[in-house]
Amino acid sequence: MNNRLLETFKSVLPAVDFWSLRYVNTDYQQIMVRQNRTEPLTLNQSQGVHITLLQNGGIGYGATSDLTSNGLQLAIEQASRWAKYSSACGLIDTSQYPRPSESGQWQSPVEQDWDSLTVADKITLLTDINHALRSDDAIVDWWASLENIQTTSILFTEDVTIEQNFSQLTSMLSALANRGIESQQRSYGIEFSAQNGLEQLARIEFAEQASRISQQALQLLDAPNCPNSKRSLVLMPSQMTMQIHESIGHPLELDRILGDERNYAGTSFVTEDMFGTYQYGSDLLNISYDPRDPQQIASYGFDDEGIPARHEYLIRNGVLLRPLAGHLSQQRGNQPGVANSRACDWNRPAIDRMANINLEPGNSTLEEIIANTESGILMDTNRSWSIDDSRNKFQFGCEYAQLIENGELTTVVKNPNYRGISSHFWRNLSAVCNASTYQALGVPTCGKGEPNQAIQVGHASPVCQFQNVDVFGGG
Amino acid sequence: MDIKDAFFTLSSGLNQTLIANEVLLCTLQGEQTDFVRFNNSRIRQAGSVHQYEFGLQLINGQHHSSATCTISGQHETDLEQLSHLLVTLRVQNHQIPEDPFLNYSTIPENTEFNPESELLESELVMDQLFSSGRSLDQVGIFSNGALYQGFANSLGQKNWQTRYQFNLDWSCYLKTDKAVKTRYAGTRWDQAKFAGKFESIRQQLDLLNTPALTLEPGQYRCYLSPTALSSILEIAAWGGFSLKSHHTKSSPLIKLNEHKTRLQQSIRLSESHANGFTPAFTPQGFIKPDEVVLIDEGARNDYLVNARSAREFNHSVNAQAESPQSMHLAPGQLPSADILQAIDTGLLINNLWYTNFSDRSNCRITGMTRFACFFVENGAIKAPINVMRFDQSLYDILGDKLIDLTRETECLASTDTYYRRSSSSMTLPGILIDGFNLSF
Repeated sequence: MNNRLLETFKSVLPAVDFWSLRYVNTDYQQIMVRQNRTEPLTLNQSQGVHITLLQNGGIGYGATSDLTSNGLQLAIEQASRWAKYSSACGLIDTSQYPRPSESGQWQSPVEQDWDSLTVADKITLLTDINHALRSDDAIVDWWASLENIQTTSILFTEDVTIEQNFSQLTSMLSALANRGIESQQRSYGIEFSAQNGLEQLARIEFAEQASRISQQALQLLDAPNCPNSKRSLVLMPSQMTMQIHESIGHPLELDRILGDERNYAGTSFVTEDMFGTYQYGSDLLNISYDPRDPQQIASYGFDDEGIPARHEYLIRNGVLLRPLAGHLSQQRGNQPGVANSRACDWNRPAIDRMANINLEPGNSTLEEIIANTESGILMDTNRSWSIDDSRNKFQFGCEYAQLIENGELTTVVKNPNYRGISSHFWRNLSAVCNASTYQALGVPTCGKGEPNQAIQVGHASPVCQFQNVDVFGGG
Repeated sequence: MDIKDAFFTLSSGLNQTLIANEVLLCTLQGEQTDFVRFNNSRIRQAGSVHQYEFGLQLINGQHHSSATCTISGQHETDLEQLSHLLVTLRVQNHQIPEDPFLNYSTIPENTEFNPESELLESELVMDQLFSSGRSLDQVGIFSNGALYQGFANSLGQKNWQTRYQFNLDWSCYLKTDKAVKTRYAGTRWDQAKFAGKFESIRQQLDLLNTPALTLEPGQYRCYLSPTALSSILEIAAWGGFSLKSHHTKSSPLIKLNEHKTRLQQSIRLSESHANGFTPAFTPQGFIKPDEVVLIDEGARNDYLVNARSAREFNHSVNAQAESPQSMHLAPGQLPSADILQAIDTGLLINNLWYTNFSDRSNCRITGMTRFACFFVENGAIKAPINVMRFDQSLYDILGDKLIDLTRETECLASTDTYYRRSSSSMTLPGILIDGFNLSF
């Protein structure tokens, strides 16, 4: 199929300065059991190509689900049409566009294949979890689901062929407790979305978590609101994921800094002159772009413009070193970067994205942090996120929190929120746990770009502590 | 063969392969869109996307399975691919339990909306944009082309909608975060209307070109434009109008649903299918009513009900999805021309950004101001403001704190292009409120 596709493409391709053909094939399956009933199964299959052409100083693309000779020819005509138009009024110096030189492959590490369990087996598993979630009449809505995404992406240019095969599993469960007009939800699993197979279920103790999640939802119904105060904040990895994502990942995307996203996803409080010198956080803060863990959700061998992925520090000992910049942004901004030019599918062009943006472990233990905290709060599992367009002033909410008083975890509180400013918050990072609490998590649907693109990004982190944070509750 | 004929020919071909009492529902969603992204008034990324997604739902008694797949539009290739998929669904139907909430239309009702295109070529629009905005730092996206949606079933029903739409969504920047964001969407390009947009842009840029004020946290009298209000209502729509969410107690409007509180008497909010851009039919073949009144006189009136919820909760189907796609908020008495005078001293907020819940049970919503927002003193714009956070319940914003809604409404075509271009829209007035909670 793939050789035939390439031959067909080449047979209708006119002379151009540079071409690339990115073929993407995705199979998505979802099985959900809600309130002990099987919901309609979802099966989505998608395939198409994204053709980029450089001609006479212009660049354009054509994307199509029609892989016949006629379809490819039409997509080439569209790409050529836009290359011609942009040659007179383009922003991009096309000589800076990446020309990949290394072929290669990537394969997600899967131990237990999705099809090793039948549909009926999966429904039985999820139904059993449903029964565990419904532990009390006050649990009024409950569900569990499994999602599998199999993606093949092949990038062809005149010089290289890069084939990458990804397998992603997402397992989720949720319980919602209600009394009168008060509802509280606890959930688990989406943050563990990773490149693996059904072995994930044992690794994250998926079925075993149902009872805890259900009990915590009930516990929240009786809990007082989170107090309004300034105190020490301890974030579990399930919230650190969103904290890293919004207030480090997005601000470091160089295409934002260069203004591409000003109409949609926003700008950045980070400016080009800060790289190499700016003290982003305390010296405990070490952030890397890290494709090394093959199970983490956004690991890959090459980005979607064919640049090999290699580990790089973005922030080391608190100092900002380099932006999230793919090859083209590196050239445009005269900055170092990483291999992060990514597209969510065949129907979208590549732009600067996060991949795995990880916070490296420190030396503390969770027990030490709690024992050393006089007045604090521990928050778990993100449920709300909001940040200004320069990714500086943020407010987050979590599902579950527990006060820390005189060195001990005490009262469970509901509706916990906190607020801060990125440029100050990370400087108040006062403790980073060691590898004992380190978890490789992620966000399966990060939105950005015009036209819009939702893509998976990874964030690994241990538990972290921040000082002097404004926290508050609901009501 | 055009895509409409290709779709109906494919669905007929698939019907020939059905066995015994099987029923087949087919859908199509497709687009031929130019996406032209620009920055610094130059082309950043430009291209065209042609995509067609065919949906199948194979029903056998109370068993059913669904799938979607992209197709080429070339009959032989597509029929072979879809026939294989149909076999997969047939096998799967034997592995899954009966669905008590299966619901599809069994009374064929055909509809067709298939106008001629009146769109301009995208290159001509871009020429006009760069020419009209000469000397401005413009950034954004222009989307232009056809959107296709179809339905057919083996009971003989056929429905089709083609819409040719453009959507220009862009910002003109003065410096840093000081910019004017504008939208222009429609089916036929109107040069005079477009030129009028630039008059407003240049006026606002002049107003932005004064030192910005940093407000003290507190409560402010404030006008929220239709665009700003849409950012709040988008969040309330995360379950706020769904019958399923109501019954599962997950609605952010649970207090309204349980009649524990109400919005101001003047609030009438509806799903106006007849005035929206989404198709008149659902993926199960039901024809939508022209209007569903969700909130009337400030109180809960009805919910959006999809096919499954209709069967589960014994209601009629009135929507494709249980979140609004054609929201309409009834206007009030405040003439738009009198907005500054009505604010007197307070804030003019044109855009909000990144809204989310801070307390879902109380429908308390937070977000940031963005783009051209101004401090108004004695009925005149005094200065732009630096970004501030709001955090307030919808029960305040459209309840006790609401002073009035504008007499004029604005139709906001969605600029959402995740996966494909959205057909959703909102038609909203602006609102004048007292005591809008702002913090850093």
